[in-house]
Amino acid sequence: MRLGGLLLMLGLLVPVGIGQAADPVTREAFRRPADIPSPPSNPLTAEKAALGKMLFFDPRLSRDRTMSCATCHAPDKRWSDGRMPPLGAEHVANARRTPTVLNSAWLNALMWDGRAASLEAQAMLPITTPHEMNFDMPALLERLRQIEGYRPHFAGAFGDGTISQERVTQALASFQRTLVSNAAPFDRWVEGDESAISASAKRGFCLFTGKANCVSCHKSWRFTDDSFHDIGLSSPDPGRGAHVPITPMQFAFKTPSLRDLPITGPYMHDGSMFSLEEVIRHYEDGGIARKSRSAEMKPFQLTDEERQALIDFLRTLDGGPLVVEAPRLPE
Amino acid sequence: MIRNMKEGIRRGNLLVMQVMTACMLTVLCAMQPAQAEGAPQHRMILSHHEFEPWDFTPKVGDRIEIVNTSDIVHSIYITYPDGAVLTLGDVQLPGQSVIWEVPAAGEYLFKCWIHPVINARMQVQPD
Repeated sequence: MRLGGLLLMLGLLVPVGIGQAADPVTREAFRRPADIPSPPSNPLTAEKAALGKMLFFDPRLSRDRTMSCATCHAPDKRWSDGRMPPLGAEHVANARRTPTVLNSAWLNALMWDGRAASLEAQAMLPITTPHEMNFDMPALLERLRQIEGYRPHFAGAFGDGTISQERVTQALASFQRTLVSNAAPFDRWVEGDESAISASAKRGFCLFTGKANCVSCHKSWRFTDDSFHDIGLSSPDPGRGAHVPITPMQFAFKTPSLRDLPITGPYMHDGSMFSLEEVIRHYEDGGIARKSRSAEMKPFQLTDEERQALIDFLRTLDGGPLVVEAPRLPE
Repeated sequence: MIRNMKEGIRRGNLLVMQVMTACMLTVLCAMQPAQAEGAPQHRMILSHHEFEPWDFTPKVGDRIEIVNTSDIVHSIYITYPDGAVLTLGDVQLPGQSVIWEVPAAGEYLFKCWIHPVINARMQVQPD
């Protein structure tokens, strides 16, 4: 049996004593990238993004023609919906907060549980989810083919007017890649403008990268490494554990970006918190101690002044609303 | 479990199927006798969010030690050439190592359940 050849020294977890202390994290580690990445299989073009924008705002992508992608990823709500539970999920068990689609060009895993590996793969999921757009792809493609006005846009984006599932998802992914956070005061500070953020916010940055160690997971210019952790919330939702049945993935959800946070939340995957102070206090406390809780959840204590400094820092990551005008939809 | 795996395939639930494969491999492999001491051993360094480039040429039967030199926890899994997935223990704490033996020629993909950004491919040539 070929499995006999898979000799594995599992369980040999050997402390070797070479763990290294974290290097000090400087502001340069959060510098914004110059370009938007896209995969070789779907290079970003203006034509595809323009088509994707029409599709994103088109309610005809839902079965009853009432819900578009922009209904829940609304430009005026930081490309989320500000709701908990999300629209249509009032009776859905373990409903999850609608994440923003800002900066999704850089995501390594999509959805709260990481079950989609690319924007192209993710694009189909809300369309076909019963409590969201509740459609099916064959019927959607047939509907789009009946809309004459779409054909030239598909031709401009892909060379001919064929409307296929692959092209719809590629166009939607392309538009979403163009949704990038505006430069925030923090970015100006990174570029050397010392007056861009307050002294309290600078102190907050030191806490973020030091005592509170938020940077353990909230790193890079997006302030996330897209990692999955159980942070000790009381939600019964198994999260990534439903797909990856190993202990550390039970109750684990993707680390969200901290850019452009809505002022009053809701925060966390279950939308259970409504202020940054509440969020910070949760991390100070460490949440529910259980086997799956992330080893990065190390309780700490802040003074009121430190907590406020951390909040002041997080506010410097807000570049303001990314305004995108809704397109004229093809007829 | 095999029935469940086939069900997973039939339903297209690839990830669940793969992890179940990993669980099965884990159980079976844990019962295997220990590897002969003389097998060549190499070291892969897992720094914060990436595997550092390695300069060894892996061969079938070699032992590979994966060392977590970062200050965060990882959970490494390997996707085999046939799509089977093997999780190298639940978590790998900072400073710890795991040892894996190359079972056959082909391309192996190393990833982390916690940090999807970690991604390394290893090509093993036939003897």
